Amino acid sequence: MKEFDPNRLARLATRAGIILMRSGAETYRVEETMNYILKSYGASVCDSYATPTLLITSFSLDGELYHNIKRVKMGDIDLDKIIKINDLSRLAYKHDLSLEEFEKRLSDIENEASFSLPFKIFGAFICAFGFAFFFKGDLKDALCAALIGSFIEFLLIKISHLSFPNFFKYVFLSMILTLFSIIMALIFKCDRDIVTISSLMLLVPGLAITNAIRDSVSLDLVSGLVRASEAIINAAAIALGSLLVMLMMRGL
Amino acid sequence: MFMSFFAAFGFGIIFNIKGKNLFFAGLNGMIGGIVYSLIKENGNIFLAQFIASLVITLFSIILARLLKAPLTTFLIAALIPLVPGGGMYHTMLSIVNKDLDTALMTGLDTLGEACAIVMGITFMSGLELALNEWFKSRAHHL
Repeated sequence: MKEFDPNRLARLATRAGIILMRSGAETYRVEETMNYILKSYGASVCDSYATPTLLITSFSLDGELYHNIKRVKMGDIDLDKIIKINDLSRLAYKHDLSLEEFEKRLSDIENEASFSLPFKIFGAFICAFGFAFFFKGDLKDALCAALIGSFIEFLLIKISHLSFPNFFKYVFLSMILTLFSIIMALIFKCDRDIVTISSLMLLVPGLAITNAIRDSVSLDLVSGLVRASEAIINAAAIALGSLLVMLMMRGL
Repeated sequence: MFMSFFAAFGFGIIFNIKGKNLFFAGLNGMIGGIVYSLIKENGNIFLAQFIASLVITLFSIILARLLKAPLTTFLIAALIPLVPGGGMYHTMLSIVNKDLDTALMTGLDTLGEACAIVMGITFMSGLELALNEWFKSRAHHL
């Protein structure tokens, strides 16, 4: 009954797993989706193990045992891809989708463009704008924070492709941010604290925090620890960056 | 306090949520912001963080069921406004000003607020897992 290459199935399942993990899905969702895909093509005894850095899958098909191991690198967060792959795996389970069709749709999802750069900067703009009011600032503070926020988002996207340690990227960004908000506060007489906090919130590792908690709750402890350390390192980098600038400003 | 809608909405764009999910992520953030502000004005800030994160996670579970999308889509963007960024900043400001008493006090407060959020999500996520198990076993029996 084997009308496809089982190795190809193993590759496709791990590929879907990698996209999910990079886009920021929880660990149990990655494991479950991979098992789901394998089962929909007739595999039995499916075992998948996922951490934010490594994927392992193993299944048997017609009495033969197959494995695949893949290294995962952290990538751009893209929650839309998680929704689409989830739908795709459900579709493959309910209807008979040929492996070629599945691969084609998976590639489509993988290559799908995220929001354009100007739109993401606009997102950062309204984000910092909203935060300034949330922290009880006025319109002037909100506009300053939004300007700094959109500039920081622009830099964040521009330097995200550099193979430079994430820690230093965040230190650098948070230094620039604090410096700019001090300058803005001097020029426009807005509240320095509110402007800094509102734009700093853009760098907060929200996804890492949320996933660290949710992974730990569902007893994926390794993933939980990895995400938690990621969140702590990022938060420390942000704090260090603005601390450095504030110390320098005090020295002047 | 309605402004946390824009904060969550903006984060939704950065995290690439599309279509109607984006609007609902923002709405979830607004609900969290309102609950947080209301309880904070009439009482304890830790309680405010705890209840707000409970409510946000609960709404994410409901939205995920209704819209058939993963729960994280609605949770992450809505949760970020609750993260005690202000507390972290003021702790650092006190350290820079060599006011270690205030730094320690705000620092511990911030840590407590973060713990309150963690407790809220943990509680609701655990409840969600238990409910899922229950639904599965019931479907099995039928």
